[in-house]
Amino acid sequence: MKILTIAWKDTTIRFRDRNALILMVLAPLVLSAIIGSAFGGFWNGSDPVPFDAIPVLLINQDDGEMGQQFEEILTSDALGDLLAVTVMADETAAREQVQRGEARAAIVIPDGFSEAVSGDVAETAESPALVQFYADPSATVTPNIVRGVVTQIVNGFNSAAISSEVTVAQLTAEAATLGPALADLGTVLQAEMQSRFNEGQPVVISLNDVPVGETEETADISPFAFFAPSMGILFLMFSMMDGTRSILEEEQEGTLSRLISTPTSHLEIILGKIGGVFLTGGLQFVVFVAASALIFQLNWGNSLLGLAMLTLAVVLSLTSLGALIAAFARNASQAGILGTVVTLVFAALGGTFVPAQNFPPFLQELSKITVTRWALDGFTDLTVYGLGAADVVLETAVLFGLSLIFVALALWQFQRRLAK
Amino acid sequence: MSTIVEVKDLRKQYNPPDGVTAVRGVSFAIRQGEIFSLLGPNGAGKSTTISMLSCLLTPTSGDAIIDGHSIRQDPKQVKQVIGVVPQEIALYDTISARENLEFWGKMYGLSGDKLKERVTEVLNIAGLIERANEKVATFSGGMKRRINIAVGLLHNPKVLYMDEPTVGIDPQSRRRILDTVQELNDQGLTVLYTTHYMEEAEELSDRIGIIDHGKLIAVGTQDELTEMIGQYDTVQLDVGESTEANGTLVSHLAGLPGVHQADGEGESVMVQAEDANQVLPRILQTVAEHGRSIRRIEIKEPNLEAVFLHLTGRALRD
Repeated sequence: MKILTIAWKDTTIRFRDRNALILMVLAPLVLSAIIGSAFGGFWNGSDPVPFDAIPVLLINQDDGEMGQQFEEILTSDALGDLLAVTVMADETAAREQVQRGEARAAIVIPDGFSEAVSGDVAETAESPALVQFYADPSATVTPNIVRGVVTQIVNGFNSAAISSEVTVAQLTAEAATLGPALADLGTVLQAEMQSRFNEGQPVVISLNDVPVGETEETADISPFAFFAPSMGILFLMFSMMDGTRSILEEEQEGTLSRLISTPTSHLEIILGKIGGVFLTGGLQFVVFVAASALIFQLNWGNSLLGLAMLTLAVVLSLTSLGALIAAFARNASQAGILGTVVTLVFAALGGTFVPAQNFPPFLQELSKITVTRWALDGFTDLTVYGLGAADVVLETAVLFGLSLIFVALALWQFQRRLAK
Repeated sequence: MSTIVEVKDLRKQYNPPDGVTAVRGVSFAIRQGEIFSLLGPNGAGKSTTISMLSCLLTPTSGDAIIDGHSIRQDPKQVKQVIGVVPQEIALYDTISARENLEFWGKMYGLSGDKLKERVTEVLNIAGLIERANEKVATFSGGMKRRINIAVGLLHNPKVLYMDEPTVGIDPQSRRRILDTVQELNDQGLTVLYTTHYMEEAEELSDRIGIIDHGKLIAVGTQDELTEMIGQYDTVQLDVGESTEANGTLVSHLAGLPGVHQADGEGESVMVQAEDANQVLPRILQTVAEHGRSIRRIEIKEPNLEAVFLHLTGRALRD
């Protein structure tokens, strides 16, 4: 109870401070707007944004050569950076995995696919062979990308059926040119496919798009989708460092001694102080998310659970990191300097200003020591890729793990410090 | 009267074994319902003593029993029965006086109607009920001091520790605080008061402990303490040159008729006499005969400062 009283008192004081409010909410909104606008071209231009491979399931029910070739194309190294394909046999199980958000899409090559492509059947068939495509309706972007690639391959097989000259290598190369696609990839490919229709090419293979579950409204990628979370995290970190420093300020101002002179344990006092910073940070980020959604129409993804999990983990990890720094700093002034340095280094290394995926490999690995990198990876999964809660479990778990370590060390040191 | 605070050979050394020893075996007892003052110059060990009695610092050795509870064995129970008014203003500036009091009340375990009732009562004691909803930051130093005291009273403590509560405030606010302390004591509250102002100790205290360099050098009522030096006036002279080089001056002063004792330290000479006014002309003449010029002269009637001077050879304000 006393922990909550201390935490609520600190939160009240923080939110009544006009300067703190500017730092906590207004500054990240303004900065993400400016940087997002300035780097808009980066996102829409020729430089592709690097993606992690998209999890896709493949069920090949065709016994023939063409089905095998389709599988080889999808699992080829050329598409390896884009798609993480798992081959499985059970179509129902695959659909369920997509429905649970464990994969973004499932592709089913039907029995008789090879015959449709290579045999006389193709020219006389009244209805084309159907490649089934099951998409995760909760994801906004990645299914479009996968759909675009599969459409391109299907399109290639249609051409092959006509000319009999297109090789697997050609098809692979063609699909690989897609690279890490952006949001409008699907549109581009569909346009290309349409142009082939217009050229009068007969269609022997068709893509049957089957959503597994309720379809939700999709959103375009906006530069704000990256920069809003990154600025939000940066200023959250500033705010958390400032908040945890207040423990040392109370030490200097005498209120900490007064707290200790009341029948309140050291542990209650420290947890109350840390709890206040956590509460403040949580509210700060919720206000920031709501404001950015209202002002910039930023879509924070379709998974409220994922957003809540990740926000909780990010705020807790930054709070505990701030507490750790405060615990080992000599005084509030030193904690302020250390906190600023750590915030800026973590921001730069963690990919706040430039996505970490653009770093050289060694720096990409190094960036994983920062809370910022894990936080940004998680939010990028939600806001840029439109992924679900299951996709941010790793980031959330890592952040909770770091929080536990930081909090344990901070509590140990603070207890030592207060026991004079 | 029964004893409510019993301090037994309390010691505190910071960063042992080489650190500074701030309190060197202090023992005293405070009776229920009395005002006990610890009088001493800055750095004498008053705040360290009160911090140990508040369970903020762990004694290096020794113990204290507060209302039957040991500060070493049972600090939580001790904290329930003591109220602490620290030397610094330990309040949150950006929230109101009422919000401050409600917060601190909750820290003492108060809640609900009892909390509201006590907050109103202590605001009345502080004389700030009209300004209860204003931010503490808008208060004068004296008003902040009064709220600082009010916090220590919230949970109706049996003993109130007040660590130099009048430092840095105007005479009017000081007067109000001293009156408040007296009123609280009249209502039965036991007070441990630390100060380096002799006048405050003289005015408030039932008994006084004189502390210097971490040692309690005398304890008693004001009368008992002044009797230690007899009914002598003290004439303190600043002769502008080390008296070590003028040993004959001190011995000549000691031999003057009506002079009880003369001591020299640095540039000062202290002369104890039955009637300072009567011996003063002879003192001035003797100093002149030794070729010394007097830069400052002060006559003190028997009081705590003279006691301190007598016991330590230094003035209280040094």
